[in-house]
Amino acid sequence: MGSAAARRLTVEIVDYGVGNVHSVASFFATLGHRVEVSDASDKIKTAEIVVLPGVGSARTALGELKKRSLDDAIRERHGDELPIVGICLGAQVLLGPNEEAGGESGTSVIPGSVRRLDSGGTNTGWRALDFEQLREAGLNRGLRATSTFFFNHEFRMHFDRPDVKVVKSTGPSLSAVVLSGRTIGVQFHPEKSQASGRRFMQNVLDYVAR
Amino acid sequence: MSHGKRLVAVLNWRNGGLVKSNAHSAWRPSLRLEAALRVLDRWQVDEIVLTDISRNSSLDERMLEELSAISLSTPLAVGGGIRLGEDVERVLQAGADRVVLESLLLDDESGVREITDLIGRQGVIGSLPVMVESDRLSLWRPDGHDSRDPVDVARQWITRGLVSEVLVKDVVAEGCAGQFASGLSNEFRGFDEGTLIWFGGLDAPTASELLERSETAAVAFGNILSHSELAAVGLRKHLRRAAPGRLRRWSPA
Repeated sequence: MGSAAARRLTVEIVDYGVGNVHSVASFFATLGHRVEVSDASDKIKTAEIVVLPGVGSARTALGELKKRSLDDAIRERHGDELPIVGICLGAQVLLGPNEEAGGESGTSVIPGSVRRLDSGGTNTGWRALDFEQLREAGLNRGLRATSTFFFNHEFRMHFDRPDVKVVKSTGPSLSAVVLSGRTIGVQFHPEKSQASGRRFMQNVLDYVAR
Repeated sequence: MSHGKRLVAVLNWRNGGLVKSNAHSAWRPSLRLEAALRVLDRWQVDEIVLTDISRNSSLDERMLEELSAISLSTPLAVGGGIRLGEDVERVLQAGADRVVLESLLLDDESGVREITDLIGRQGVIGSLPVMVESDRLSLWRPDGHDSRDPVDVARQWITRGLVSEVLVKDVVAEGCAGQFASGLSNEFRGFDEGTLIWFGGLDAPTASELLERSETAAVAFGNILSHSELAAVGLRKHLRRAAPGRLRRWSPA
């Protein structure tokens, strides 16, 4: 099929009323893909690639997803093994119980939970990834161990099950990427991680669109 | 965290265009917004802060319009005229990742709560305008001084969960490289690790010293970065030599 870099994919950005749809849509357009923005569950169920963006609070995000019946659409899509990419808050809504939303569950397509950072503060800044884990996940092409990515979050993805494939960040060691079938959640912001972010996302699209 | 500190570029917008600011009292027209953002994005500063300093009570439509037309791969925080949740939504839709609040934080905590409920405190930078006169630190307000202790104010913003970081802005020194008030940073000793962004009259040696402080999340520069296309590259090189390991490695994929 060739790499996603060589193919023009149709990327459906889910507009569920939280934040930075413009940035994410521009990012995928810059990568050379066809971009559509939608909150229609039928489209979300069947699109070639679905991206859940997100800047904001989980309570608002989960409420908006449910109001639009997009939570069911995402679960159905994951069950059909169609590609889903969640970014930051959009990754956290793929998990289960969410501390930020008072324990309310996300879409639970990946077994995990969302908890406050142990520091009690926020994790804002540029971090590298565990390069060995990135390589094992098959997402390292064109990147270096020194490549850094922009994180900005107060809550973290948490996984108890050892079979969940995770790539951690270095200093602090936090779950940065989670992979489950053709669904990938990314805690950082590839769209705001400059050249490293563009390269990483091409690798992600290669992975989910394979 | 001792590493991963940021080099931030600050752009000031006033009455319809970018300006170079001098001590918050004189302003000269600067580059077009699009040109300035593209240069900073190309040379990979770690974050861009764009603030409308016109002191209007609402968002500047022209600034939002120009912002919406640009695609950036660098994190962007936008401030000025933000009062309501719907203002925040509009700013994010225009391309911002975070917002910078100043007047609202100083005057209306409930208004800030509405915003943090919407985007979380990680989405809010608090701007703290300060000045040092006769060795005394005070809050700067456009209509005169405020008697509150700026250090207490900043601490409360953080402990109450209103902001993730505080941009400590030396108003008198802004636009005057090398004039950042000596001793100002000592007033903020003991703040949580990585919570403060220093801005206003920094030069490279002072910024290098600040990068060694645990409280420092970032050092911010305004006019210096507009001097030339490669100003950010030169500054980053200097800071990486003077404060090794503090800034991220600049490593294009």
